[in-house]
Amino acid sequence: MKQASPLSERRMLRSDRFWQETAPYLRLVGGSMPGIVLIGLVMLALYGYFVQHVPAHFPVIGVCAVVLTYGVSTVSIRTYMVQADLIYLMPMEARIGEYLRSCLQNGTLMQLLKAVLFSVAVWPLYQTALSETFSGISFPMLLIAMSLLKLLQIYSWWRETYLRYSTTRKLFAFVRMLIAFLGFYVGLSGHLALALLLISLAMIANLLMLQVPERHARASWERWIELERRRRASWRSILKQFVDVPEERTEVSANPAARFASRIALRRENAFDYLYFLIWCRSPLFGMTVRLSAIAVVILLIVDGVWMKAGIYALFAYLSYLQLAEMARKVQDIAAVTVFAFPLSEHKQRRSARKLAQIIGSVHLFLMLIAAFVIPLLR
Amino acid sequence: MRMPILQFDQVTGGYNPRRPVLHGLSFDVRPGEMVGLIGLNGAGKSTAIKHILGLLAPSNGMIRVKGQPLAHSEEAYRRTYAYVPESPLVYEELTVREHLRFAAMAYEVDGARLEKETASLAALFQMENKLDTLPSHLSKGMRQKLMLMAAFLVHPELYLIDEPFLGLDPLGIRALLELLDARKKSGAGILLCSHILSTIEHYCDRFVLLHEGRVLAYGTADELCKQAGLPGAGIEDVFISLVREGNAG
Repeated sequence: MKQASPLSERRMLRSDRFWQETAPYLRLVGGSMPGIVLIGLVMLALYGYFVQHVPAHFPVIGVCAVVLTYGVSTVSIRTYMVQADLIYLMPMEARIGEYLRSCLQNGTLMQLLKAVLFSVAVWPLYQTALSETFSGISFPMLLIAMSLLKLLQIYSWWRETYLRYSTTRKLFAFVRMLIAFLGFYVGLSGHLALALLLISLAMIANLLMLQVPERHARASWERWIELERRRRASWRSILKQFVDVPEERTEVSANPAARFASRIALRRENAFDYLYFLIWCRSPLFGMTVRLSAIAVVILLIVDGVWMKAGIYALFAYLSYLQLAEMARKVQDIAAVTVFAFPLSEHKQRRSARKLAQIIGSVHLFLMLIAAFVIPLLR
Repeated sequence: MRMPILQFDQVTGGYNPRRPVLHGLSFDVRPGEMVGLIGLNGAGKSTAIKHILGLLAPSNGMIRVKGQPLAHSEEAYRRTYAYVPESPLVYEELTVREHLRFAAMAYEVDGARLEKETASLAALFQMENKLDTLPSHLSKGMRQKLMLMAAFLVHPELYLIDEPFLGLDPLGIRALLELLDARKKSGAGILLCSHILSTIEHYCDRFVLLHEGRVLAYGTADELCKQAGLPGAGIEDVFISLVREGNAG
């Protein structure tokens, strides 16, 4: 039997350690299993109902293509790398290929599983578009296409991690996503041969183009460490919905909405409003709240029936409440890092956190109301 | 003599009441005075600062800022000082300018003064082109400059500054020393922790030499020289001599 090399062994040890650290939390999450299963069943029932009552104008092919594109283009491979590797693993850069191969082999299996799950999820909806005049593609064909495209996307994504500049990486990721979307759209529309030709040519061109920009020759240490940090952070953010887990630094993004903070008057009583607004805008909390609102609005625009809309409205209002309660706690946690140094009371902190949650919640409810009941009246 | 802005009165404290880090510390900082808090690693300098900030509570003794303990009025107590920590503590979500605006709100600095001070401090610390930058794009020295800018923006009566020179470039160090001198002359009290004794020697009016949580020596540079039996010596030689004596004793 072939023995694992020391570096791939190190990868396995790190992976084992991560799961050993995570296992106690997963056991605690298990305690919430009945609730999770219940929510899952409700979502499935809603999806089933929707599949049976798809509105006539609903763009089935487009929506399926978007969902499949998301499933196939979002790639995340664990590298288990940490900052200390710049000191301890970097001297072995010449042999880092062994370590990375081990990461890729392990990650690819998980990514293929994800692709299959997305195919299974989309298939019932796609079937509604099939008719006597439109035969589309079969499920095995979809699975094969998803798997092949996923492998190509993983390879392309991996090459992108070597690119030196984030703008070039983002551009290639966008192109990769666009190719997948066009391929799925054409393929799901029944033009399978054309889709295969389009995807093959475009992906080959994309891979060739990847050789052009400046890139790291052998290893992209900082990128891999950052990707691993994000993966760990996303694991923790999932677990945090159920149990208390230690915090890790979250990513900060340059959100243009943050410029509205300058409109908050320069007054002492507004200090925490100002701080929390900026933390919300530039932390992942912004994306979380906006995504929930966007999903709610899209679903409310699609579904028919007053009771159905009212039920979904109530469900998303409740989810928003849970999310905003967590957000209010989170902004206070982030602020706690240095707030002791400022002459501001704890009472003001709590009041501002509640105020921000109330404002975002009100906007969320208002947008859902417009999507559910006002826009249908205008149609 | 004016009332001290900061008073340590027989303060004993630390992380565990049964094993205190500080043992009966007494010293003060008066308005218009810079006091250097010096000592070896682990002498208790940062622990002393944590007690002033209220992050740790003394198990015995009393700390007063402007004659009042923290418990009297937390907001009034905290408004008196600005704190610059050893490791820059910044909000990753706020740009340099936004940090200054937040500090201005907390200390009730008006808009016109905020604009004026931001411009002059940014020029002084060569941070003009970094004002709209997020901390993730700042070097350690620049983060330290951000902390200093926020502290000097608000003109408090007391500055608590812990190892401010680490990571600062020579221009930054010069700018900081000039600012400290100017604020001292305008009446602010300054408690400065630093290992760079040769740098602070000519700026501090008095020194508190901590050793194993106790005040080993306290006074002006001349008084410390006399205590060490090294008249006319530099503060670094005096420090080494006193600490060796302390270790031997």
